[in-house]
Amino acid sequence: MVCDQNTTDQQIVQLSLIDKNNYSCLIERYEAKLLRYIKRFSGLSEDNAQDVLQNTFIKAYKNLNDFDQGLKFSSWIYSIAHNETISYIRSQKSHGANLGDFDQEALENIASELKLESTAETGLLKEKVKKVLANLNENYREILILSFIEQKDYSEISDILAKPMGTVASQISRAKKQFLEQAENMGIKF
Amino acid sequence: MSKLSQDILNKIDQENIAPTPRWIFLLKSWVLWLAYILATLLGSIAFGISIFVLTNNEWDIHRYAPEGFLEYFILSIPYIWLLGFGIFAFVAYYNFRHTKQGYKTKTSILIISNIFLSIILGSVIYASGFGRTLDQTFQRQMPMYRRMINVRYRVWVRPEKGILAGEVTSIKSDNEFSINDFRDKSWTVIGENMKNTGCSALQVGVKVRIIGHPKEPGVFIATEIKPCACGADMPGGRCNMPIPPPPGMPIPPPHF
Repeated sequence: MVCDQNTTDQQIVQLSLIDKNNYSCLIERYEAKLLRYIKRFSGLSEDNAQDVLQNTFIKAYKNLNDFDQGLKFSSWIYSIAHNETISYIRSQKSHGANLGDFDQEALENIASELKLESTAETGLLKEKVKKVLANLNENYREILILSFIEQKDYSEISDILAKPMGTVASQISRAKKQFLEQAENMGIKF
Repeated sequence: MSKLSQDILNKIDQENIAPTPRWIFLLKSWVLWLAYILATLLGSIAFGISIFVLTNNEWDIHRYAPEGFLEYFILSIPYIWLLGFGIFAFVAYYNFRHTKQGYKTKTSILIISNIFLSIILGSVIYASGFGRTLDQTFQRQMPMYRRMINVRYRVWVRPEKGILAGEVTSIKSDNEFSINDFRDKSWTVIGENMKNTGCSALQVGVKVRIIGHPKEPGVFIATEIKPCACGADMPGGRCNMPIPPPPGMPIPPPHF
């Protein structure tokens, strides 16, 4: 069975080139993750994020032959989603303020990485984090989301954003600082 | 099958979307690498010619430049070639950056390594004599290059500063002759206590450099006359008639 969990993404890519119906396995593996990522990164509405997601999968399908087997498929499809989201935001000349939801684990992760020692209840902390993220520079917001919410490692982020690993590391460090400064400017205390 | 995958497969069917053939991506990749190699090579050539122009600049003549060594040095810098070197280094960087794995290298490392590579290749090009060949070919084939790029024009065709160079077109007497300077302007040269450094006798067709001052439009008073460096890359190429040294003087080594 093509969609079997034991079948790797790379194998499904090859099988999709033979029969396009196999591509549905990749779509199903990544649609939820990518939709969350697009919404978190862009703050787009559900409908707009769905449009971006569809464009992402269509573009990936057209470029299946360009997929580098040395890369993780997830990094490759995230990088396409990243570019499609940026294009969409630029074409609309604005982005939304709804960053979508993130789960408890993601919240704990970002709170721990940013040393947010909040006594507030989870729901309130989540809202505060989302509020600060929504007001953060696009580049910083994205790198924080990839690193602490999507929990991608430096190498994957480097592949997704097409930036050297050293740059990724320094941007994460700057983004953390920016996050705390932005929270202070907004009068948000953790 | 999820609704999204069904929608996407339907769209693929309806719009006859197919994966772009692999050879197109390979071609794109090769073009980028080829452009990178070409840009690096052209940058190296520009650097090689720059070394040649700088090392063959007859640095000893700066004493004739009225402004002193610093301005002579600034005048002598082959800006166009160095600019070309910079542009090609940037094009090489741009192409490398757009190759598949190009983003993984840090910008600073990429720029420094490309410049370093161009300097090494440029030095090889200079050492092999190819820089000289190209410079001389450009001088012969491209009047614009002769007039605008060759630093010797900037240094030696400055009558207002008391230095002039050109080809002897006629000789009236030992102390009066005509030249066409390297910008194709005619001058009558009149010697006043003229010191002849390295020229036994003037001959029509010989390229000379003259120290003195302009007297009136088209007339230059010469206090010293020197042959152009035979074998060197004076505008127009080698001296078409080497000037023998005065009797008793040692034969100068060839100037390369």
